[in-house]
Amino acid sequence: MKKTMKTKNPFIVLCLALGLAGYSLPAFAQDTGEPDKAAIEKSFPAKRPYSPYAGRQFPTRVYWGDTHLHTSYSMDAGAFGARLGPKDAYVFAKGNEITASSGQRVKLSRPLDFLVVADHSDGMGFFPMLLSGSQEILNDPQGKKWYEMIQSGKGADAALDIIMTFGKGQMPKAIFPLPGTAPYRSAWAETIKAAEEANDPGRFTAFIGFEWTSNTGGNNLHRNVIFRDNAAKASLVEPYTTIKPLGSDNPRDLWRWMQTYEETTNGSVLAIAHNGNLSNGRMFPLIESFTGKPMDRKYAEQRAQWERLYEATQIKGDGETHPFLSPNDEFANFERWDKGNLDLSELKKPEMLEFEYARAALRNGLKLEKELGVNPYKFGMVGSTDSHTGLAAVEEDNFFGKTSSAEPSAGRAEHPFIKNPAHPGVVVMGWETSASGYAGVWATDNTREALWDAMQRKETYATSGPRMIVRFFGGWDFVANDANTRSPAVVGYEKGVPMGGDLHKGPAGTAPTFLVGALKDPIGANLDRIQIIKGWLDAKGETHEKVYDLAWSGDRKPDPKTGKLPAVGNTVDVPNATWTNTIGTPELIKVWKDPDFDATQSAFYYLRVLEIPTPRWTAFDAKYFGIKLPPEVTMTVQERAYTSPIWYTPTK
Amino acid sequence: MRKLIREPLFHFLLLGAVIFFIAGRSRSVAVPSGEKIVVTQSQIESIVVGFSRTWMRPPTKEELQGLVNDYVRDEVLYREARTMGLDQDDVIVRRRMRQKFEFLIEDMAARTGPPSDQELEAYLSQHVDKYSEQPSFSFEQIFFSREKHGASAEAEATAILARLRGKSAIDVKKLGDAFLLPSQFENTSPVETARLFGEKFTNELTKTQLRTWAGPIESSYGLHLVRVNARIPEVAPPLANVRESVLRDLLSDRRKQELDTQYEKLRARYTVVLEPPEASRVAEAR
Repeated sequence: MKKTMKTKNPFIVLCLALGLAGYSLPAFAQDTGEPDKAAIEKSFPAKRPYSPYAGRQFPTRVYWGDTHLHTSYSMDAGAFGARLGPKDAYVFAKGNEITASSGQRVKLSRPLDFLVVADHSDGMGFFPMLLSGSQEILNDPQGKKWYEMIQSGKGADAALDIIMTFGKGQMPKAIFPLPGTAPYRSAWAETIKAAEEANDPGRFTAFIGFEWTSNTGGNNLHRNVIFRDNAAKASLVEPYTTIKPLGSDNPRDLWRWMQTYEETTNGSVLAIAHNGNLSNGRMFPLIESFTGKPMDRKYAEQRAQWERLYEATQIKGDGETHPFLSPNDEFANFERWDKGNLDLSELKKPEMLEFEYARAALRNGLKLEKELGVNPYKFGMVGSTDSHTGLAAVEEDNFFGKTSSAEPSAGRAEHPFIKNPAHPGVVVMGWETSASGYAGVWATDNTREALWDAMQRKETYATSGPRMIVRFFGGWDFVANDANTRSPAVVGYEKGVPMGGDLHKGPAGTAPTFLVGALKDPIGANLDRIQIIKGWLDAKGETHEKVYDLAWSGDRKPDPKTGKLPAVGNTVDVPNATWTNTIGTPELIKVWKDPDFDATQSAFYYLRVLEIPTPRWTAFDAKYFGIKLPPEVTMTVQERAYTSPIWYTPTK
Repeated sequence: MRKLIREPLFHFLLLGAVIFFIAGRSRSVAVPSGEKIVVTQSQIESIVVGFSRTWMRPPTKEELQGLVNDYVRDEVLYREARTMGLDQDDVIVRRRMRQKFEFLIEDMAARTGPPSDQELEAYLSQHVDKYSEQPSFSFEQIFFSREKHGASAEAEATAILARLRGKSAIDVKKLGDAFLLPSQFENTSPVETARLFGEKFTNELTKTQLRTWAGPIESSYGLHLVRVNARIPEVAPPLANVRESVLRDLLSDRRKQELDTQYEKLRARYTVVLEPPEASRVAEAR
């Protein structure tokens, strides 16, 4: 187990320690005299202090950030016109106004609390080098071609060509910055330096990180690697790449690299995968695509160890679930990207979907746990941007796009985003990019260590952009009145485990209970409802899922026939890109008991919190630029949050 | 690359190149034949050093001959290309030249030596807002849900306020409705408070009487009774605590200023004539 795991209750640790000293090891040499119960008791007050927070180490504050931001150091970002580097990215995330690569002034509505600049490890710093027209670039026919394209104003075509070439694994070796070369080393050193300078413990956390962009055949197996450590340790390595022989496109090799890093530096790293929706059935495999063999225990153990979180929502589509996988879930069709893989070189087939989405993976995880003894897909949730602009700006009214060429402009929504000559009829349009998301992290402090530890224990949730506050606790004895106490979070930690936690055997005949609550984004839209999504493994080894509505605004009644809660309504004025908080509620809180619990079946539970409908970024674009978008363009959005699950595992 | 840019020799050559470039612009004829290319001892030395750095050994005689030939080839084509004006209207060349010039100026700024303590103190007092510990509140709050009480939420809160202000002791933590944010905040900045409760709520907190229950005041979520227990004003830090950031910012400001001053000086030597752009080439103002 990881050294950073903390037992939540220090009292239990002490009791255990004292118990051991007193009884299990009577011969234990000690020079503090005979233990005296009365004397020891004095150091453990019978009554808790008046202040419910005194002496407690649990998080009272959620911290907001982006675990996945690209800058000009990423070769594709640079190619698409990004000129802001890691330093600028941190300055912007701290809430300062800056000039975007497109020349527009931009500022966040509120600062973020943390940021990971995660530039692609392959070719890190390539674009600054290409732009400079260095000797190496001009000596290479391909490099010279791109250089000349950019010079003659065809930067976008050059960019697409570079991305296609990289996707096919045909980057010319002579000009591609590889680990060990001077340009590469300098790009990594600059990345680290920017994070070190921006890091301001207690106020703002700047993580050191990179993206490992395994993309063989255009199939997205990308992971972001985040360091808990500072420059002293991170500088000892160079990011792991995907191109052989230095790197590999197989996640197993990335995990080995992570392990070696931890062993040699005594540091800590974690990895977060994203965009299973563009992996064409490879992100959450039962059969490993690299060997064609069923997953083995070793894979399961390593995945569970290194990939504690999944980025469930971002600009390139939402990754919670898909209507094909969750036909009874009327909210499943959200910011859907299911036309093919990342470069549309291969189109989507329905049978791929099961291995692409978070909910299906959580289900298959239960199945694999039964077979292998380890659940490889026991991950928590975060949202992040994956923006390639250096700007973590994904609010609907402040969306600065996926790439610098997609920063606000009258034409960006109707500009094709991905197309491939192999499939001329299939296009992902600019308007399909999703203004999403952020990561909410329940940490004890705003430092690299505290935030990283919270990620490691999965006390996190994903949102599609708004900053709603969400609490989720599971236990065996929550009662309805716990939702009426003044500080439900205190009760939550006292009687249960938070999001990302585990429930084991409960008292006989009882079912798990959950204390759930949500507050709207203080400057955002009201809430529609809180749902709990349960997945479980039955006696026959089949998995199932069910969505329960737990708490909702107003006096809506579920339909007696279907059990479905009526929709909350819609106040969106699309032409004016406005809405009102006249429907929905600012806060919801509730205790829920699983009515269908079977103690012999393993299960997971996570929350989905829905806002009332609001204008989508496309509506803000149409209003601002005075344009009319085609009817197929989505103009409203029901923003949401997904928490990390709480798992129930029966003990034999 | 950066190291090279910092080399004084490099700057010397660069300045030479700039002067040569400016002088060269006035010529439109080709390089007259018979022009001399002298490969000096020191140039050969620098070729040898460059080779040795990469290959970890000095070049052989043949290799050196090859390198020198290449240097000459470079020089011939460079001179011819410049004479033909191939460097003009080239975005990359222009960007590089501008960048090199700016590096030069930045270096000049750095050469004025490290700032003295007085200079740092002066900078700190000029930009005190940037380094000050933010002001903060310590406060308690009791929440009243409009969702639960509807229109009577206000009356409910006012009634509780009367009890709180009354003589009899009451258990504060039993009052009000369930709420996901803490009921007590210690040393929380107004910015932070506004991010959690909204601007309006935060403004109200600056007005209430200390250590007295007040309200109800409105937040983004509903109504609150509040008691502010302490207000800590903004504190200007001593230089010792923020020395590193002040030094970094001062140097960065100096560099920017130097860039601007030098640019203005150079700019003053030019008259800029701007032809009005064709109307169709300009986006409508928004």
